[in-house]
This record gives sequence, C-alpha cells and structure tokens, in this order.
Amino acid sequence: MESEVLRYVAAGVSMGLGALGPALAEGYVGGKAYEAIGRNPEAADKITSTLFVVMAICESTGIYALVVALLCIFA
Amino acid sequence: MINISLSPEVLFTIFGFGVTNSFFWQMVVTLLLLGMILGVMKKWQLIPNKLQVAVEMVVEWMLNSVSMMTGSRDKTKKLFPLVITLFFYILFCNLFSLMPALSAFSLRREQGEVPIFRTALADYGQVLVLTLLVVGLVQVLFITYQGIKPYMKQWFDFSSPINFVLGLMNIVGELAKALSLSFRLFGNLFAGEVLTAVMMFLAPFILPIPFTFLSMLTCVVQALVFASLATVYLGQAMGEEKEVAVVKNKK
Repeated sequence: MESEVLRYVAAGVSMGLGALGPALAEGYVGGKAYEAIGRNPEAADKITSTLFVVMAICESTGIYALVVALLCIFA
Repeated sequence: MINISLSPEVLFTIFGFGVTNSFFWQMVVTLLLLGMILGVMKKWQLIPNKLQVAVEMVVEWMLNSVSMMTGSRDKTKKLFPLVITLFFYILFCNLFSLMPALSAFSLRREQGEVPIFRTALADYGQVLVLTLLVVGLVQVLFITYQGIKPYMKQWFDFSSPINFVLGLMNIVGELAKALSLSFRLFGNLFAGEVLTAVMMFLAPFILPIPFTFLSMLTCVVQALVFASLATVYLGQAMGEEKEVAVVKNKK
C-alpha cells in the first residue's frame, strides 16, 4: 500500500480500537453510578459530580487514540 | 477542503516574536479575567451588593468542593488560589470557542488564509506549560512538606529489589501524569474544534447544533477535570496532616 493510504487506515484503526476501551469503561461507570443513586438518592448530587470527573478520566485513553489518529492524518 | 492545522498560525510579529492566534486569544482571556476580578474587587465592601454576593457564593461553593477533595481546610487554603485560577482560565479559554461568528474572520496572506480565532488551549504548547506548572509544583510541594529524603525514596528505594523496581516505575508514573494531563485537555479541545469544522463542512445548518451542546459540556467538564486532578496531585504531594498525629497523642 502507498503511505498515504496507510496513514488513513492507521488513523481509522487506532480510533476504532481506541474507542472500545473508554466505551466499556464509561458504560460501567455510568451504570454503577446509577446503581448507587438508586440505593441512596440523597447522594445524587455528590455522585453526579464525581461521575463526570471519572468519566472524563476513563475517556482519556480514547482521547489518546484520537490524538494519534489526528497526528496520522494531519501531521 | 477543511482548514485544519495541528499548530497555531502566526497572525503578526512583534520584534520577531510571532504572535499566534491562540496566544492572542489567551491574552484576551487573561485581560478579561483580570478586568472582571479588578472590577469586583474595586467595589468590595462589608455589606455586599448583588454582584459581590454572586461571587462570594461561587467562591464559597468552590472552597467546599476543593476541601472535600483535599480533605483538610488548611491544605485547601494554600491550594485554592492556584486551582481556581486554573479552573477559570481553562473554562474561559474554552467558552470563547462557543462565541458565534468568531470563526468567520480570517487574515489574507500570501500563503493562504489565516483564521483569526482559535481556541486558546487547542495549542499543545499552552497546555504543556499549564501541566508542567502543576507537575513541577507537585515536586516542590513534596520536598517542602515531606522533606528531601522521602522524596528521593519514592524514586530510589534500596530496601529491597522489588521496592527498587517499583520506585523506578514511579518515575514512569510521574511522566505519565504530565503526559496524560496535557493530552487529555489538548485532545478534547482540538478534537472539538476538528469535529465542529467537519460538521460545518458536511452540513452548515442544524447538524452542528447537538455537537455545540456536546462541546459546551466538554468545555466545563475538562476545566473541572483538570482543576480537580491538579488538586488531587497537589494535595497528595503535601502529605498527611500533622494534626491527626497530635490528636492521637492526646488520647
């Protein structure tokens, strides 16, 4: 394959595989958070605020894949 | 096609120092924040007016959330100014990207058009400086609060072979801290910019609206995440409270 083609393939593969982990992680975190809210609805505010932070941390590997993919295409 | 570049473009030069578009907006945000703070501080009084009440409420709420993370009022008092400055700075830098019509302006040059607006933190240099500030301060705080001996011991622990290897892993962990903190912020903001550009290119009407909401959420959450991670790292570096030990001795 030509290097130009390879760059786009690499970007697609890195993003596709990189999105897998964060998707699972965020689903798990969200599910657990709602479980916790269901058990203790008074703590909903506290849980939701930490939920966003934890989700953003889970997301970071996906973001790394995104940065790699963007570098593949534009740099 | 769409105009996307990984590095910010140079708008104009002052004495050979290239002023890039993201640096320009960074300065705008800094001046705006300074102006706001000075404006509030000028009319600071014992019996507060409406604006002062609002500012005090926000600050109080944040003080509580930060002390929930650090776990002590004393640490919070020391970390609060830095962390809150980081939060508001990142937040305002991000919120500027939601300003409508800004991206319509560009300068015409020989080598093509240069867009005037760029999200201030969609430039890896700026983000890296913020991160290095935090990670560097972590080292300084660790040494000043816990002494140079425990500091070196977390890297080079000769008590057993396993501890030595784990200590070397800590060095990697510290580097990863800097990398992940900076890539998270940069990646999110740059991705938001690219996403908006792609959506605008595909369908300029209606389609970008949900993505605007998404980027609005990202703006706030990323500022929050950066500030709270900085709080956690800095709070850890300051070590355990001394007061706990005193209470134990009294018993």
